[in-house]
Amino acid sequence: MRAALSRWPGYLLVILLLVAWEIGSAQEWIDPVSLPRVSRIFATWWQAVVGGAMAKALAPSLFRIFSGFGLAVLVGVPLGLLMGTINFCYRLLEPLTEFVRPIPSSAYIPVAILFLGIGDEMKVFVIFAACIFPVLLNTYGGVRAIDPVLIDTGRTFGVSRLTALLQIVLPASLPSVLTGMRISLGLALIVAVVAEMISGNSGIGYFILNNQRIFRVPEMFAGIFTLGLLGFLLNLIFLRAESYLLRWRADAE
Amino acid sequence: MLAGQDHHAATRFGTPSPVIQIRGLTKQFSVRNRPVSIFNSLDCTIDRGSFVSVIGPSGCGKSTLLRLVSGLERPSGGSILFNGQAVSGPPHGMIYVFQQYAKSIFPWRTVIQNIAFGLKANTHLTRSETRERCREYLHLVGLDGYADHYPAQISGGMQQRVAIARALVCEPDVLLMDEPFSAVDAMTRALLQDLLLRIWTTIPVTILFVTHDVDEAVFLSERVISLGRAPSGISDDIAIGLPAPRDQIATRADERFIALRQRLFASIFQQEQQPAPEGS
Repeated sequence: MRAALSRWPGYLLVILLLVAWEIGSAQEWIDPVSLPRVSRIFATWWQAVVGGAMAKALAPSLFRIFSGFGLAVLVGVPLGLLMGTINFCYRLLEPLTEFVRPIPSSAYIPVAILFLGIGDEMKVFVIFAACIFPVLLNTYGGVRAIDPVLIDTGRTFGVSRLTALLQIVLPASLPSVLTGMRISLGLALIVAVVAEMISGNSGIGYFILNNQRIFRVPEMFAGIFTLGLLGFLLNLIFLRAESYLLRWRADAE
Repeated sequence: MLAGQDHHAATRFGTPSPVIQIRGLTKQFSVRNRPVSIFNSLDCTIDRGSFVSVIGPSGCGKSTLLRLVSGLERPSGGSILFNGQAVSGPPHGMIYVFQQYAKSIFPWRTVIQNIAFGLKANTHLTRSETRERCREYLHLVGLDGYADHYPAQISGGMQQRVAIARALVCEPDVLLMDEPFSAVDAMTRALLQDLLLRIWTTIPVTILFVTHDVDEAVFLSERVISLGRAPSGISDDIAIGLPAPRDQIATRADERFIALRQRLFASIFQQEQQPAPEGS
């Protein structure tokens, strides 16, 4: 609450910009066709929300985002733990990772279309491909940065390798793993929208592009606003989960 | 026999019997592709139930010796026997307490969860027995009321007490302590020393204690092993016949304490002053 209050200048700026937009558009200082009044966009957004159109556009996108992101975590975290703990796996896979990682995941879309078509499989795959690297890199980076004293502590107590992995390595690298997951979640949203704009006829990306094509500009902006809100909410939920999981940290309260 | 009892810790459990036997221990490191010898055929026996400190000038290998005994590190040659068995990895019944307690205790576990960490691997207790045993040792190190605190919420001295309790709760035969009190302030150190001595007289545990602090070694131990510059090995092995219980004020003022302290300090200080040998 105090954090929210201390950020009032930022909120004030947002409000001022929206008011400027509203007045600018109403007075036709800016083109009201390309930038309709904020109040109109909001009314359109509200109609799309209560009418169910927004949920219909959002549902397939959320399915793709969570599938791709979820798969990336399921594959990336164990693979990262493997690369972080077993030197051979690291030396085997690290060069490949470094080579593939810099390719923007949107560049995979044409290839993915060739192999997987234009349906959900393709989109989930592309989101997965975008999400896996931050998760993977942050996981093995986190594991490799664990202090040797912590590992030796496990050894002197004679715990099994699996116990050491689950009770020492995983919790010790968790802050880093969660950072990777948060980066990936943001990427998932971007890549989902791009993939939906390139092909198919569903999802929030398609909703935005389609409304632009048929000159329903307020609907287009309503879609963009929804995306902003979605990104904000996902991040908020993630930060809450993170501060719960890392509640043991000194700076967490 | 009776007269000697005060002087030899091992006798507090009857006839002295060896718990650790070091035979012909050799250790070499490779520093910039050049072999550096730390120990060259070192022999030493530690009696069950004793409190032995290892001191020496910086770089003499006292921490390395402890790591070798613990099984965390492998020797280049020779053997280490623990309860008659060759050490080839960290054995059950021997627990290492690290100098860097802040890095060794698990920050994501509460105090009581930290203490419970090694119990599963070292004992077969039920859930309620585990909780009971942890409470017991929590009390022993004077941390009642802090069971559910996270390490970040307690002081450095308390964190080291958690590390000690976590090791003791497994009821090891031997506790290996690597400069455990070097990172706390002088007053906390004195309190921790008293705590450790109290524990040692309560529990049948052997303590092998590495320190750079000569006073601490003389104050705590029944026997002090002084290592020379690597790879010269043991340069001094002294029985500390100071009366028990040791007292922070009276023992430190004791003439015998001062004499022993002076003797050991002088020998180490002399070695520290000599120029470092080539390659180190």
